[in-house]
Amino acid sequence: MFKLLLVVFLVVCVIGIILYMLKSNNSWDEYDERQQLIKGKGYCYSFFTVVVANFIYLCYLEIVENPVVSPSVATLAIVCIGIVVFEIYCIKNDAFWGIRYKNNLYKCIWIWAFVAAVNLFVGVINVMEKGLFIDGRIEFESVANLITGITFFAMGFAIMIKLAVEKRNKE
Amino acid sequence: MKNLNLKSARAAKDLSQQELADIVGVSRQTINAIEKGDYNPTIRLCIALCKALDKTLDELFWDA
Repeated sequence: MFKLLLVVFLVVCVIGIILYMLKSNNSWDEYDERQQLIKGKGYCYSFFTVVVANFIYLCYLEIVENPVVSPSVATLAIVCIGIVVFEIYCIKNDAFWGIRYKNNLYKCIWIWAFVAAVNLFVGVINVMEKGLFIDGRIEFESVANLITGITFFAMGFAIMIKLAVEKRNKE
Repeated sequence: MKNLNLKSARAAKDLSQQELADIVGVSRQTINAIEKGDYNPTIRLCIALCKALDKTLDELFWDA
């Protein structure tokens, strides 16, 4: 019952944040026409990545009698893969940071680094305590934080590479 | 195809890519992409660039 209430609370929070961001006039950042085109392409690639990954997992579930990966883990992993595809495409094509990025750049990097570090730390602790496999399956509670931490780490790493390349090109 | 007219007009006004980007309201990377020929701007952005550099559309974007 408590888990259900927690899930409902989280869903309501997420919807509320999305509605607030949509209605808010002060956007976090602004993207020019070229960046919006690239973000559109990024969404497209991310969508098809998620579709293909879901199809692969569906086939895996149909073929394998006792799947090792639980559906909740697969769902989280697929969503994170989609997010990473989108973010890395935008980072590579200079559409991740908007026009006002200088105000937000280091704040974002620090927040991401913190989220990645916390999730990786908690994830490693979970795996050490509960083990990777619970009753012969990789369950959500053992790897959720690890997957989230790896996602944020991958995006942060891509940003670091991009900033390094830009700095070298400037020089 | 590279847009050398834009680059030379920007240099004539002694503007960096970032400064020109700030004037017309786009990112520096977009100005760079236009100059390298990797991106074709919309007419709205073309006009904004012409106004910022005191040039006509033909002078900046026509490939004679």
